[in-house]
Amino acid sequence: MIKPKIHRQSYNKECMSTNTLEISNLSKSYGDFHLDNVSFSLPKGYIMGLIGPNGSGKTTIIKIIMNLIMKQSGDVKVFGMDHLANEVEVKKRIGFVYDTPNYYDHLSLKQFKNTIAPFYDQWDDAVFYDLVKRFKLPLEKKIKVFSKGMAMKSSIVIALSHHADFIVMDEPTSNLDPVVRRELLDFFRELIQDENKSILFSSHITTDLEQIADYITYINEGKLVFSKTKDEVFESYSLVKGGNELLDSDTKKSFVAVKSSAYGFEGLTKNVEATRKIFGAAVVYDKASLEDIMFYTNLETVKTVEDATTRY
Amino acid sequence: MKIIISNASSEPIYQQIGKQIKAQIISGDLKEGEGLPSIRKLAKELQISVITTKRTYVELEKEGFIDVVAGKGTFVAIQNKELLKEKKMKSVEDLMSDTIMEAQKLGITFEELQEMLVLLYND
Amino acid sequence: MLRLVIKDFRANWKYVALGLGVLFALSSSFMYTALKAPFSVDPDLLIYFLLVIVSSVVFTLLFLMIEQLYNTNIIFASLPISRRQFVVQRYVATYLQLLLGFGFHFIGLQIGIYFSEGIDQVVEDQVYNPRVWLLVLLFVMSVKAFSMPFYFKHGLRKGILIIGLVQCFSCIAFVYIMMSYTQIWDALQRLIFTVISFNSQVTIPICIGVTVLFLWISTQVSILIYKSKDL
Repeated sequence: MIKPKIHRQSYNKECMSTNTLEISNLSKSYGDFHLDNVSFSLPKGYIMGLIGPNGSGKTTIIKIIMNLIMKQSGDVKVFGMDHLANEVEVKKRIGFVYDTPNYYDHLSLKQFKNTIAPFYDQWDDAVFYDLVKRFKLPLEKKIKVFSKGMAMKSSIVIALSHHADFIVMDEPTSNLDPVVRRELLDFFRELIQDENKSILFSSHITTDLEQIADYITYINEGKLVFSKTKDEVFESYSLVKGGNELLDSDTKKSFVAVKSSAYGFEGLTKNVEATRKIFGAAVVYDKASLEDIMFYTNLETVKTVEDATTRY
Repeated sequence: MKIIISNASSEPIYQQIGKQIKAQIISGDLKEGEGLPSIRKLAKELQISVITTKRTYVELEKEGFIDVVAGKGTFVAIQNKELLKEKKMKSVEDLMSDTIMEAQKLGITFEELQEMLVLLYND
Repeated sequence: MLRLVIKDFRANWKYVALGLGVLFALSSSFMYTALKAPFSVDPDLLIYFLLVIVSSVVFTLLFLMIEQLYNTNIIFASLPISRRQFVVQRYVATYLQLLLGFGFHFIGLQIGIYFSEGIDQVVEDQVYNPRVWLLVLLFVMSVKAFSMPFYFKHGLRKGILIIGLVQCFSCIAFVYIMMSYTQIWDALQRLIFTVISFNSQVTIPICIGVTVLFLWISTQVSILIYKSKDL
């Protein structure tokens, strides 16, 4: 019998020559919330998606990178430089997009551009006007009459008009309709054709990241769950479905979490190879989406959850 | 070059692409020395991650199907005639492995399989 | 640095113009009504200068209010400028506003006087006395220097609350003390008068020096506060 070979290759980040972003042992506490010892890196030329439930720390991490919030411990290096010691130099090359555009919205886009542009050495009006035309944004209307989609596109246009090498975005697509979202994702894909540009993008719309991210970093309750290539995530995580009789205290351990209904169980494993060894062909293996991964990881302990429909 | 990816398939995307490119090189649809798109361009066109396309190309380069020339691009490698025959054999071997796996899953015996092969080959 | 200072003026010039217009109107109408018959009484200059002080201070809060409204400090904290630069520009912009405010008050004053029926000599001496204006300006600058760090630490709303309360209490306490202990009020008036008419080559530089010192301390404190503030 000829066994088909399974090719395994992991793309170790250490073989990349430069990282755009390096975060090590980052911690921050305020009130009830604790960001606890988070470390991950983004190599140059790739898109990293930051996922996690609301309040998990994604925005905190982004704000710390931009030095809007002070870290308590740990290191943040951007372009190989410490983000605090070289704050101004680093920020010259960062384009930022936040979920709520905080502008003087009694200004027009052109007037707002004139407020911001002088702060960047590399500001390029040609790029700005080109992008404005491309996104069909009105230059003379007051920003307060813009729709959410237009406001977000404006933020993106401003972020991209000074030849930034690192684009940092906090929930850029959360308020947009599917058509605009798709348009933006296509645009980011095009941006990354330049292998000197990197994008960090937090979102709770996991389907966007499934489409576009090269790396996925998952933060849950202030802790890093994983930071891997998208391929690695989907190759190691899997949904497993089978009959309830297959579950016992031992087999349950191979899952991140399991939920059971009257007709069978569904669980998430983060090591599908090991799970295959246990269950073999007795179960069905399905691709786990990022949403599935987040859902199961968030279930507090490995336990079975009664499916509400079984009561009816 | 034609590449069709199935997201629903259980086969990893980089393997799907690899297989299709290999098949086209072996069949001669992709000629020796022909230029291939950069990993980034391919990723954009197929709407997948650059890391996936990179992995595909790394595998293809290892197996001798393509050459990555720094500064110039990626090209279909000049195929050694014997090696090419070997590769062709291997690609059919791979398909056969898949078929055998499936047959075993469904409980089809070796004899039944042989019969099927003879029938289909003579078709 | 200049462009940082200009940014607020440029973005909000309509509000600035409106504010200056209000200050101008305040001064001109006050002077006009105070001097014009049948209301022509000696315009109480204490009240006038109090008006100038209060309105100018409120005017300098304009940019802070706009910033609070739009949360633009987040954008500016993300631009390639250090927190230190941001604090310094805020001070420069605030004091520029103060100077502009005083300027417009003064112009308003002239207009009010011009259109009224004339002004008596005593009042004229005081109103046109540059030393009076300078001392009032320095006083307001010192008061501002005291309040600025609070705005950096607590933001506008809380800052106004704290500063407003502190200044209210100080005013009330001041007035109460002056009214209960008239000898202190007399002594204070004599002191002010002396300072105003004293050898200005000595007192004026001292006053300016003290104000600059307050300003410098205030700026350093604000920089320290803002550098470690979470936005």
